[in-house]
Amino acid sequence: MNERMKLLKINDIIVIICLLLVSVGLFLAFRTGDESFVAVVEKDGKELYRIDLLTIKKPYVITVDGDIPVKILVQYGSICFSDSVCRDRLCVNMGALSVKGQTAVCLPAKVNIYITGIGGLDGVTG
Amino acid sequence: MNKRTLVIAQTGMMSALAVAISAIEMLVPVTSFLPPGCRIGFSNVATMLAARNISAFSAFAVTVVKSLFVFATRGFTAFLLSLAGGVASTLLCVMLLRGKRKKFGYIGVGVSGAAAHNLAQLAVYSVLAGQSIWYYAPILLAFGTVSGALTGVLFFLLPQSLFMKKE
Repeated sequence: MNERMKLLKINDIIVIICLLLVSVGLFLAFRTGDESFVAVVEKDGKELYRIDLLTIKKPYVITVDGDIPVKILVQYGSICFSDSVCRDRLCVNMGALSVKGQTAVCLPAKVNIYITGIGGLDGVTG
Repeated sequence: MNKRTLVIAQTGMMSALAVAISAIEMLVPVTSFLPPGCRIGFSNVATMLAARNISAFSAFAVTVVKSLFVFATRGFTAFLLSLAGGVASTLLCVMLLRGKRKKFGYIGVGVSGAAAHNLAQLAVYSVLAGQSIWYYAPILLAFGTVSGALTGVLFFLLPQSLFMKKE
């Protein structure tokens, strides 16, 4: 030990303030860039609709034609399969998607809806 | 005592301490009230002790042993994350603790170590997952500042007499 170390030095406070400023700055930057809440409707893997769910004033229904037609209900902040002529109706029973990263699929009709973005994290650190 | 033997024994002790602390941290359900992926990282104290009182090499050895423990208990992805964070923070701590001029205090070393740990992990995670999670950086950095300061205070409070003088 050339010199006894102190608990807290002026440089430490500078580092802490810089880190907190950077995190506040990044937080604001990511926040404004991530305000959209977009749902995507796909058939056979091809994108049909891209809807910003936060701009919906009045709910409406999209009909996706095909061998098995499905109806999709679009509302402010959520989207769901409202009707399908298939037998199992799993997609309708999935309920409404209202969280980023959620998906619902109607396999017989090959229609897939999801909300873009990443949902909750499963953090692995240590 | 033979100097080499002393170094090996002390490095082993510090590795055991690091593994024990990180095992206890895994058991305590802190994650229920902390943001996901956040932990205090008290096991960094063992690395810092090794860096200050034994040698730079010893500090890296402790980091690798700790990551191998993570590999054994939580798998390869967690191992890579732990190793990346550990090596980055150990590198910084070694430079700050073993440098001739002590520009930072214990809190500064702990805080910088935590920041290096988090940033390295975010970088590796982005590569592994193929998607950027940098939007999570602010939470990790802010939390890391608090937990790094705590680690620094704990490091300061530990008695120097834990180690025998190398004669």
